[in-house]
Order: sequence, then C-alpha cells, then structure tokens
Amino acid sequence: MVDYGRRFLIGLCRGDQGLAALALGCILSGMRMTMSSACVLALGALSLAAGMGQVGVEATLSPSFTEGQSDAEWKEFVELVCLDCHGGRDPSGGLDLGAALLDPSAHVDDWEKAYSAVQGRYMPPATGTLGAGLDREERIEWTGGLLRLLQADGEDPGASTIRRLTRSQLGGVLHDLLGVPVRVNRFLPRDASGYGFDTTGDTLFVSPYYFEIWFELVDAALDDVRGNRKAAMALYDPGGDVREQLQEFVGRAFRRRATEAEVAARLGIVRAETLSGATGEAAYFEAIRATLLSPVFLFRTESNVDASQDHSPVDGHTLASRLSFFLWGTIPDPELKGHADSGGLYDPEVLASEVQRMLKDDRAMWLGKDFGMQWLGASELKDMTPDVRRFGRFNERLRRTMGDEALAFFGDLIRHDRSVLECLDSGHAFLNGQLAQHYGIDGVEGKNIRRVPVDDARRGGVLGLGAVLTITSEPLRTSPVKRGQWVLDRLLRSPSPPPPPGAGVLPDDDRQEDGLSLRRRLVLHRADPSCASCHSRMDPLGFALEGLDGIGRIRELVEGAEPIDDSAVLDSGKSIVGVAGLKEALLEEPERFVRAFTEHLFVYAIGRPPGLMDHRALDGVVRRAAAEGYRFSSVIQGIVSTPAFLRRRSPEPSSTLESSEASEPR
Amino acid sequence: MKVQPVKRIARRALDRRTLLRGAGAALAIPMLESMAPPLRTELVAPKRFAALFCPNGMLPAAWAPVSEGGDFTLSPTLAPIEGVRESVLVLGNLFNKASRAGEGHYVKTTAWLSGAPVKRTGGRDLRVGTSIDQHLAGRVGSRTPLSSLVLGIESVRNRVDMGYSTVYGANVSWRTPTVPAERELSPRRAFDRLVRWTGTRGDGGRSRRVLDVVLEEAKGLRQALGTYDRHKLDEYLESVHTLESRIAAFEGTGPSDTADTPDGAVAADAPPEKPGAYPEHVQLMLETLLLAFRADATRIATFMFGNAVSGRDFSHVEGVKGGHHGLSHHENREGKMAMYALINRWHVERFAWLLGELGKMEEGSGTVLDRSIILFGSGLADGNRHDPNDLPILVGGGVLPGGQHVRQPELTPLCNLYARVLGEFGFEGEAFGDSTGPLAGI
Repeated sequence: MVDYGRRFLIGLCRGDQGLAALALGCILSGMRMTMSSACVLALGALSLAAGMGQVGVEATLSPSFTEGQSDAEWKEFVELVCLDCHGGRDPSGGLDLGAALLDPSAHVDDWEKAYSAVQGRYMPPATGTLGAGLDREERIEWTGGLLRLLQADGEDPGASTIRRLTRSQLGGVLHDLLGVPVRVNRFLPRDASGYGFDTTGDTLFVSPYYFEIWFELVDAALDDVRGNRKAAMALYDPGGDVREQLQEFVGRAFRRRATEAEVAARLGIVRAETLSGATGEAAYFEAIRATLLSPVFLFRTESNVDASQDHSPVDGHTLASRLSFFLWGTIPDPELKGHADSGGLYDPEVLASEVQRMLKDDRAMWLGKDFGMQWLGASELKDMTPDVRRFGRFNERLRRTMGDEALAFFGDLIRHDRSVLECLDSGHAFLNGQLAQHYGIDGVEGKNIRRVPVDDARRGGVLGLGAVLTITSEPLRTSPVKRGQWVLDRLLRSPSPPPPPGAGVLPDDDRQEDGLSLRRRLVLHRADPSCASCHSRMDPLGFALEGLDGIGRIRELVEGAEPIDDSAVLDSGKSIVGVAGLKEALLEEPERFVRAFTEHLFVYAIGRPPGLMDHRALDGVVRRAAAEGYRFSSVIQGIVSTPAFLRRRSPEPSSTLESSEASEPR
Repeated sequence: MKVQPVKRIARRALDRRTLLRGAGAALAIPMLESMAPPLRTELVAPKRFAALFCPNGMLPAAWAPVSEGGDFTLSPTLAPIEGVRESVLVLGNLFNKASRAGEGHYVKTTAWLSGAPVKRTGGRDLRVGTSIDQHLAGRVGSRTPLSSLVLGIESVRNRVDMGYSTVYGANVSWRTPTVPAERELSPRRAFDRLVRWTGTRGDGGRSRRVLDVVLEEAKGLRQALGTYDRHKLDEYLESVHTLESRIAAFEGTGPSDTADTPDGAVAADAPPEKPGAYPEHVQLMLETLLLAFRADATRIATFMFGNAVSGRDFSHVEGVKGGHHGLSHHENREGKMAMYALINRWHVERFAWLLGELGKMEEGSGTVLDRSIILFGSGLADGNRHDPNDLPILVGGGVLPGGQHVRQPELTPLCNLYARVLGEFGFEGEAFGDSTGPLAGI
C-alpha cells in the first residue's frame, strides 16, 4: 500500500504544504494505527520542516503503512488520490471511481480500466495529488487491495468468446485431416485481429460471404483429394465399414468423440447419395463435406466437466484441443488424444510432460510463426512500402528474408528453450549472405539463415531485427514515436493512449526543408504538457534506436547529413545511449518484460486480454519463470496452468425467449 | 451445384488479367443473360448505388469550387470531372456528428456510411452502425444474385491503434452494427465470384442435403452455448441460411425474393504489392465494379481506395513524393499541400473515369449512369487537422441533379444525404442515422 508517510515527506520536501497536509489527513483519518509512532513523528516533521528546513527527516520517519492495510484504507487512498479527477459530475475519461467505490462489484469494468492504467504506469500521474507515480511495491499493494475489494475469485477463468478456427489454423487442420495441402490463403481473407492477435474470438467473424468461400474451399479441397489417389484411399477404404470410418473421421475433425446422432446424420447422406447413383467414394465424400461445413468443426466448441458450477475444469478433449491449437495450431495428435481419452491430462505431471513433448516437436515451430510474427508485428512487413528511391536496397527478396530472420530467431528460442530475455538481448543474430551484407556484417555467405555471434549491441534480440525496424518506420524515415510506442506496446505491454484531437504530426521525411531535425521537432512537441505525458515515455525509447535506419541498417548520419543522436533520457529520469543503453534499461527489470511477454502469449492462447481476475495467476507465471531462468518452456508451462487455460465458465442457462427468438436467424 | 467447370474457366480467364479488361466483360455477359429467370423479370431499369471512399481527407483549399450553383468554377482538385460535370453534384457543409469524438481517422472512416457513434475497443464488442449500402442491400439486394459487392485494396492489419481495433479503419461497410461486410481485395477473386454466383446451376440437391445436416448441428450446438457465444454462432447460422436459399434460388425450387441477406465481398489477401502496382490494382477493382453493375450481378457496391491512415507511397503520381497519410499532415507548408492536393486529384480522376464508363453503358432508353448514385469522398476534410466538418462529398450519376455546387446550411448531417438516397430507392420518408430529413435544396 502507499506509504502515506513517504508522501507526507515528499510534500514536505517539496515545500508543498497542501500535499503534506493531505497525507497527514490521510494518516490521521483512516488509519487504525496508534497515534503514537508515525503521526507524532509526522507532526514533528511538519513543524521541523516548517521551522528548520528538511534535513534528516527521512531517517526518522521509517514506520510505513504498508503492513496490514485494511479495505477502508485502500478506499481512502482511492478517494484521496483518484477522485479529484475520476469522480463527481464530469469524471475524467468517463471513469467514475466514486460510483465504483460505492458498489465495487457492479463496476468491475471500471476497475479493470483503473487496474490497467495503474499497471501501465499511467496512473496516478506524476502531476496529481501524490506528486509521483506509484512504485512497484505500491502497485502490487494497490492491486492486492483492489482484488480484496472485489473479492476476486482466483479460479475464475473469465469469459471467452467461442472461436472460429483462424485461416492459418484451417490450413494445418485440413492438411492433417485430408492428407493434402490446402491453399487456404487463396480463398479465405486474412482474419481480423483483436488486441494484436487473430486468435481472439470477438473478431473471428463468419459472414454469409465467408461461409460462401468456405463452402467453395471445402469443395476444392475434396477435389484435390480425389485427384490424389493415395490421399483418397487413405481417407476412404471401399472395403471397410463405412460407419466406423465415419466415426473415426468425424471424431478427429470435431476434436472429440463423434456422437451417435452425428454419425447417423452422415450415414443418411451416404445412403441418399448412393440411392441417387453416386459411387461409394463420392457418397462418402459428401459426408466428409457435411463434416467440414459443420459449425462443430469450424468453431472450437468447448465444454467443462460440471455445468452446474459457475466454472469448472474443461473436459479432457477440450484441454487437449486448447494445447494443440496453442502450441501446434492444429488438432491433437494420437498421443495427446490418448491422454484426453483416458483422462490422464488432468494429472499435472502428465500435462507438464505433454507440454514439454509438444514443445520439442517440430510442430511447435508453429508458435514461432503464428504467435511470434504477430507479436513482433512482422506479419505487417508485407504491408510496408519503404520509398523505392530512398531505400533502393529494399526489394521483395529482402522483405522475405527479414521475415525469415524473425522466424529463425523465434524458432531458435523455442527449439533450444532459451531464456525469453534473449528477446531483449542475445549475443547472436540470424543471418544469411544477403542480410549480413545489408547489415554490414562480414563473413556470412550463402542463402541459408544461421545463427551468427555478433558483438555489436545494435544486433541481437528483437530490437535489432530488420522486420521490427522496418515496420516501425515511415516510407522515408525512421519514426522514433512509432518505435517508442512499439517498445511500450510489444515489449512492455503498456502502449500510450491516443493523442488528443488536434495533435500535430511529424513531417514524413528526414531531409528537412526547414533544417529542423526530427528530434528537435519532437522536443518542441513535448513543450506542450498535454503531449509531454505520453511523448516523454515514447520518444526516448525511439531515440535510442536512431542508430538504425528505416530498413534496419546501421547508420552514423541522418540522411548523410547530421550525425545521429541516439542519447535519451527515459521517463524514469535515467539517461541512456543507443541500443545498448536501451537494452540495459529494459533488462534492469526483467520481470516487467516477462510479464508483458506472458500477457501477449495469454491473449494469443486464451483469446481475450487478461483482466483483473487473471492478475494473480499471471504473477505466478512470472515468478515461476524467474525460478527457471525465464526459459521459454517455463512461461508456456505457466500459461497452461492458469485457471483461464484449465477451466471454463459454464454457459448461463438460456432464457426461453432468447432461444426462440434467435433460433430462427434472419 | 456444379461450380467446378465455371470456376476453372474463370480462373484461367483471370490468370490472364487482360481478359478482365476486354474479353472478361464479354465472358460474363452471356453467362449472366442465361441466369435464373426469376431474377431477371424487372422491366424498369434498376437504380444502383456505389460509394467510393478515400482515406486521409482532402485539402479544402484545393477542393472547394469558387462559386455555388450551376456555373461554379471547378477547383484544381475537381478539374478531372470536367468531362462528366453535368453528372456530378458537389456538396458542401455536410458533417458527421458522431465522428467528431474519438480520434482522427478510425471513427471517421468506419462511420462514414452510417453516421453512427463508434465504440472504442481493441476488439471485443465492436460497434458502429449498419452502413447505408448494407442497409440498401438488405432492402433491395435480393433482386440480384449478389446483394452487394464490397471492394477494397488494403488488408486489415493486426493491431490496435489509439485504442481502436484497426478493423474499424478497414471497413466502411457494416452488414450489422457489429459485423463488417467482408471485403474483396483481390481482383481475381472478385471477378471469380461474379462469374460463380451468376452462372451456376443446381447439383441435384446434394448441397442442400449437406447443409440440412449442418444446420441441425448448428441448432443443437446453439443450445449448449452462452449468450455471447450464441450471437457468434448466429452469424454462422445466418450465413448458412443465406447460402442455402441462394442455392435454392438457382435450382428454381425456392422463392427468389427471400434469397439473400446482406453480404459483402471477402477476399484472399491482396498480394504483397510491387511498387507501382497500386494504380493497376485500383483500376482492376473499379473495372470489376463496372462489370458487376453492367451485368446486374448487384446494384450496391462500395470501394475503399485505402484503409484509414493509409501511409501508401504515392510517388507514382507525377509531382508527389511521400506517403498519403504523411502528406495529409501538410503543416500548411506549400510543397506538401500541393502534393496532398495532387493525391486528392488522382482519386477524383478515378471517380470521373468510372462515371464516364457508366455513361457508356446503355440500358433501356438511357445509360446505367442515369440511374445511379455514385458517392465519392472522405470521412474528414483537412487531414492536417482531422477536420470532420464540411466533408468533401461528390455525388455522381443522374438520379440526383448534377452540374451544380450546393452548400448546405451549417451542420447539415451527412445522413441527410443517405435519407435522400433511401427515398430515391423507394423508401421515402425514412430516417437514417442522425438524419434530420432528406437532403434538400438540390
């Protein structure tokens, strides 16, 4: 909890009587402390400060209020610190914490907002009542108080929306089921994304047109199977029992045992087709078509073991599916399915060893490709249009190679189970001849990308990836703002909020007609306090990367003119120089990065952003990872053991009105 | 449903892009003539609506014509419409009230055709409003094989910007207030689709048998889901119904007038673009739109020249160097304003070209252009200020009287134009969005 004594002191030391008095008021009012110690000291300090200056106060005022905080005190803190802005008639940002305090459980959404603002270190602002932001301990205390206030259920898995398979998952699943590669990208649109990942249920739409294409795709895929005798025979054995084959296929496709009704419906199709003159195979393929078009296939339908509880563990098949879609992007393999069938997956040891096995499998490269590229934003590389005249070296081959570099980095991280801190800094890069030449590194030849030790701090880790540096640049220049925001968003998961209306925009070329450097302009921009609050967080992070140009090359001069200036003063007051300084600063708080990385993986795996109810579990993941040297697998194991992954909320019983109204879609 | 042969032909046809240019049109027409009869019984030439969206606004100084009324002087940006001037109505002073809040681009893009307030969210509970094109598609779309054609150039990007899901910036057409109409981004697929769904025949009930099973399972599944998930599944159910009834219509076994619900065009991604390929891509999409109108495959279409905040490099335009969004923030510097205006003008040229082509398509006693409403513009005025007032709006076609520049009274809702459009489509007196009445004074 916030140490009011310290606040009191801050007020005193700044000569801010108001703040000191406020802190004192807080001390005197809400605390069931004995007046004897702190308050007397505080009063003494007040007169001391007023009369004799501020020498030596800190040492005498050690008792703090962080122990044994009560809910009343927590509320008091919110009232004193937050309500000036977030209360009353026109609460700032529409967030009324006054109302939320009166009835906490009815305002969970508001508390979520407050929580993420505090976690993201936006609130309380340095310019507010406290005169400073919260430090790490204080944030932990504050969040703890909030969780107590809300009586948060630590086992609650939260609400996730049912998810359709994504385009890239469909590609893998169809290949696994049908035995032929299916070019889904030729048919299906790129999936929209929520919170940075396309695996979030809320943005996985099925429109009439989507279904129309899906219908067409299934047809085309089955055509391809027919054209490939080996695949067709693997799928359908004319001599075998049709019911058994259907049972097996539908079960695999639906990622659980097929029900009697499901098999019977398909047998009906086979019969009708045969009656109208179709061959056995043609009839059987119609049944397969009905399976792939079914919502049970297209959506990840899940169930939990006890629907009478608000939430309970998911059933074995659901858990197996969650695992295999998370790590492999496709349906469970026979071994995992076996554990689901037997119920063995409920044993934490079996679960852990399955995760380990799956991560060692080549299919885990999926995670690098699907999660890794979305996390880094490297999937945006194909949308970038560096100016062809300014960056003549940028061509399609380089674009692809930069993507491959990012992939290789992530693949190596997974394959060798390295520390995720290597994302921040590692002594090696992934290069082939072309990239090495592009980056100005000698001695690497050939087309194959391989791990190469590097001693230049500007390489190694994700900050040195060509893909990252390119997607955070404009066509004609680097963008310290974009890069800073990228670091905040991707590496720390606390992006800056949008600029206020009317905020200016930077010129889009480094070559300045008015001679003002980009950096100088940004400094001017920050003179406006409303801009400074965010830009003082973003810009310095980006400045530190100024030694790398718009397509990731090392540079000493900006556009061949001025020397680059990659020194910066971080929001914390720390001065850094260049990429090396930035890496060092980020590594000073490894758990902050790991928490952010974990949260990104969480969004990807669970399909929703983490909320308050996940706070403790995520803290646990980070602690556990820290104890295991932040190995990649330790983070994955942690996520897999959160309630959000292992459990599921039971669907609320549908009202008759709702179900009758909606069972007849328009 | 034997889609295969048709599809193959279409594929081959499109492999040679030139076919779309000339022979492509010829290829589609006979097929459309032989379309299912119930769809072609109207005697009166139909009305059509299209909306062309430009991201990043227009430079007001170069946009606004000097005087009002019939003898206005074309501004530099509007100069390309000289040849079709009599078919263009230049509207001033329209504004989109709901888009004034929020941020600079996404709300102004995604609510351009609906006037609805936009919920700020990174993904969950997206909410805008049904756009005018999709609203119309829902009302008149069942008369054509495709209820609408929704076209674009740039894929949706994987991120949240300014607290808004970039889904917002990638969609002007919303099928429902919460689900965007998916766009077709690849010219090949757009064309493919026109051919496929206007030329297919029944498959002896096979597809219906399959879809029956699928629908049963969807209903069963629905019972086991929570409320929010059920909404998600209903999207799917509706989609299956749509396809089922379309198949029925083609087989001549179902009522054609209930055959459709609003749909949009999706697409495989646009391929990564080579420098300079953009103008060609735009051209192909507009030609697809023309083809669809000419063949009466749909009467409703939208097209996005780019997504909100598009930073596309426009150096392919003579005199321009730099990205679209960057130049739109011209900081009142002359050089940049000039380049920004040139980009705007390039877009107007495409619009003028489209009108010209529609004017060449004869239909009944007139041309397709005579019976069309082709909206062109942006969701903001001056990109430098993200200005949502006095939006740059052109209306092409013969339905609304052209050849004039009309400034509306201050603060006239953009939705008044949409209310007017609704009236022209036979739904007089209906309000739309925040309209205060159909657009008057023209």
